[in-house]
Amino acid sequence: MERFIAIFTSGLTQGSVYALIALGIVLLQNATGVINFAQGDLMTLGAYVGFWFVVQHHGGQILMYGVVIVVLFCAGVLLERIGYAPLRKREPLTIVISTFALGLAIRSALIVWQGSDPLNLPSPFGNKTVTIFGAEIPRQAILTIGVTIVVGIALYLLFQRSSIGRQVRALAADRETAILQGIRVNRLSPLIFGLSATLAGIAGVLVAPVVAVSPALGFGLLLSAFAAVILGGERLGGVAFAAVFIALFQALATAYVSPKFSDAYPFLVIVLVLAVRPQGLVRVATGVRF
Amino acid sequence: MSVSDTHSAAPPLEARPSPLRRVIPPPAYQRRQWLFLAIVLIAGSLVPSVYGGTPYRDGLLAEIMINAVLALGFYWCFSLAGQFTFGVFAMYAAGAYISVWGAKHFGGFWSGLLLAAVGTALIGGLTRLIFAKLSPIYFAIATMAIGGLMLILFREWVSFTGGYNGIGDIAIPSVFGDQLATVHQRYYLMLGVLGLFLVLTICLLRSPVMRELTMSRDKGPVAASAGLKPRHLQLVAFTVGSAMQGVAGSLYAHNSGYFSLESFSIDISLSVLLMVLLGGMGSMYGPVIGAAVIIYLPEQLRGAQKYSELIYAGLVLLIVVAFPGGIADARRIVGKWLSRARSK
Amino acid sequence: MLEASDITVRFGGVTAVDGVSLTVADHEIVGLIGPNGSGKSTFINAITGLVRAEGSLKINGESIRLGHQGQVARKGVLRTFQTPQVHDALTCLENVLIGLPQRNLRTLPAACFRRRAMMKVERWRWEGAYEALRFAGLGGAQDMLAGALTYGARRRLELARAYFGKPQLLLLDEPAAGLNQRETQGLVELLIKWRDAGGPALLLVEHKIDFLESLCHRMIVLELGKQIASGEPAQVWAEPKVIDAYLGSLVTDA
Repeated sequence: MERFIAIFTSGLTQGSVYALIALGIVLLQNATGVINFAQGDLMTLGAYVGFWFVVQHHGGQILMYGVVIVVLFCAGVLLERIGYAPLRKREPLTIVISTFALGLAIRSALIVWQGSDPLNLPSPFGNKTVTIFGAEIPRQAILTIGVTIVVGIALYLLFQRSSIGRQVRALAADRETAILQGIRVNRLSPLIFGLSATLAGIAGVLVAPVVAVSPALGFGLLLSAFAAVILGGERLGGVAFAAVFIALFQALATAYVSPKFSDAYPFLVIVLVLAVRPQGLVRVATGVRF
Repeated sequence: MSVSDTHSAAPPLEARPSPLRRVIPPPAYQRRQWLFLAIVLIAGSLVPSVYGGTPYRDGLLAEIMINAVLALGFYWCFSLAGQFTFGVFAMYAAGAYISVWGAKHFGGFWSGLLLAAVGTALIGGLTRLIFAKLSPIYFAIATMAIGGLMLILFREWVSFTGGYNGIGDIAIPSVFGDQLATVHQRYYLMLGVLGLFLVLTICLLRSPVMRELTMSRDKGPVAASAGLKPRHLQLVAFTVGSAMQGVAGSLYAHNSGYFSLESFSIDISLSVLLMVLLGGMGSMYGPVIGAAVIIYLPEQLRGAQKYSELIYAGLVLLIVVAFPGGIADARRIVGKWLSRARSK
Repeated sequence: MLEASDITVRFGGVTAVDGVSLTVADHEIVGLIGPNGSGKSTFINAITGLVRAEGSLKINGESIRLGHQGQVARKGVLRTFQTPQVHDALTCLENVLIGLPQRNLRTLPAACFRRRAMMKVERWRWEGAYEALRFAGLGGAQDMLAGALTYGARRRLELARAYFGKPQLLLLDEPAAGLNQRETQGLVELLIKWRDAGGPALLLVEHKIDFLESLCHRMIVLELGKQIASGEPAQVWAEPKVIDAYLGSLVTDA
């Protein structure tokens, strides 16, 4: 029983990380129609910034969050200026390619900065655990889940109650009309890019104590986040639940069935969903099947 | 001429009705493409004498050839069929493994090569068929996922691939009984394969298929309403492109005495994308130019090893934002500058 | 030549076309009119398979399944679009060449292994395409990129492509949209020339009334997806239902 609790919590934790990345992707996609292939690398950036601040700069753990949020927000805005704004009139695929390249740029800049050897960002709790129903749960895991829930609620409130949220929802529903109605996409885009990057950064800092901080950290998780986005139907709520679902499934299957294919499950989700229900993911505007 | 057609499509069997001279052929047929290809291939066969000689340099040339074939395959998938695929690295790996296996069980390099081409063609064609209805971005994500799954499969299917321990004892290619024991000799084999694929590409470009493919890619429903079969055309082009990628993998495998799973990662897809972007997406020589530049240049910037990926990324961005046509487009851009300068 | 029965198209909760049936005989010119939103273009999209539709379709007596893009093209039914759909990066000649539905010697294997035969047929096609361009008044523009053409010229290019395809029935979706008086007149003359030379049946979706009156043998009126009138032009215009549909009920609440 304790094993199950441990595995379940581990899945929940992993799911929280997937969810944070995926939420950032969906938020950006709703506002701009762009799928940011650099999201994983932004997460890696967050982990590295956290490492630098806490380990190399000897800053406090709580302050680290603030630093990461600020740095990542700026990184997001920079991303928007370089990789999105000049390409706004081009095809979506071109923008995807540029975000992909920017992700690689971030990754390689990190290698130049810190080298490519794995690094370790210690958790604020060290290795302390909490006992739940007999299972030893790392406090970091609780922190991860907790932060994700808080962020999720904050996002929900932002989306439903604030003017920014209204604008993003309008853009997601009918982009052209929303622009005609005066929504300033130029002003909104950098903001959303920054926000989305911040989510990735927080994910990076949360997951860093558990796994090694290495340059490929985020990109590896990117596909899992895509799986959540696709399964969740590109809506914030759906995506969060999909992320948790996929991670739980992954954790349980790895533990009880076979550990060898554990990284295959998110890929399988993507392939199955896209093969079987593609029409749910292509926005049908007028019914004309273009 | 055994042309099966309906009444209105049959060319008249009597004497030519009116002088042809008035009708100039479409641009695709006007350029002297065969001649240019011959020049390129002759130049290619002279390069080793000029530059080669040391095992290191020969290896570099071979690497350029292999990547040129790989990039050409991507060109068929992306520029011709219009489908961006991240799965290039997986086709490359599949081609390598299938070829080694085939050579071992069916008699030699050529069986392996053929099997690799057929195998990757099947995989690519299936992928395109299953995900035909997706928008380009989601299709790309699907290919990424399929590629990832394939690598995981290769990782676990140790009896077929040797996993991380790698695979050795690879058949050495031989032509008409002579073993191509040195890299230098195998270079010519690769040049021949590349030449063959370039011929295939020209055959496509100088045919109605090219304009139909262009229309299918960019205005699918309009093409369909005119009686074309856009999905079918794109499938054919995508399948051929996938087969080329598999052949590249086969050439890689039989050129190295040993390789393992570590040789294959998604970075390959990124390099190939960079090659095609840099060389020029719109020209069939773009992939070849790009491959030569991408493989050759880092060797010259030896000291900047750490920065190589950063430079790659910067290049991709620069090209995407500022020079979508790549190097092959340089002729046109230079021509524009010149004519503007002349008119001042 | 064409018999469409009970065509219905639904988008979500909206029924754009509701049980419309019509027939077009060989060489007949039929106008399909109605106020905005009456489902005229949607009807054409339904027949050519661009939208999902229910109902049945018969071409020359042969039953055709609805919903497959381009299926009707191979049976001799071609169409034009509301905005001229030509490929900007191809030359005018190439754009027209696309229009031939018959597929002999146009496959990749043929391009590789039967080049001589393929080139022979190609040259024959080039001539036909050039004739089509001349018919549409674009004879000198064969090497121009379609992207460089004016709007009116692009319309005529699309028409040339349709002409090259030698259809039995041509569906024209607002062919005069965006054309000025002179260009519209030119288009009418072109269609009359085609009609007099034994051209295809035409189904015209249009708003411009004088355009239709000079061409159509028969008119059908749609409103909110349903057919409300049909017959000769003069007769149709006189019907109160039709006047109502276009002008609204000005007179009824007296």
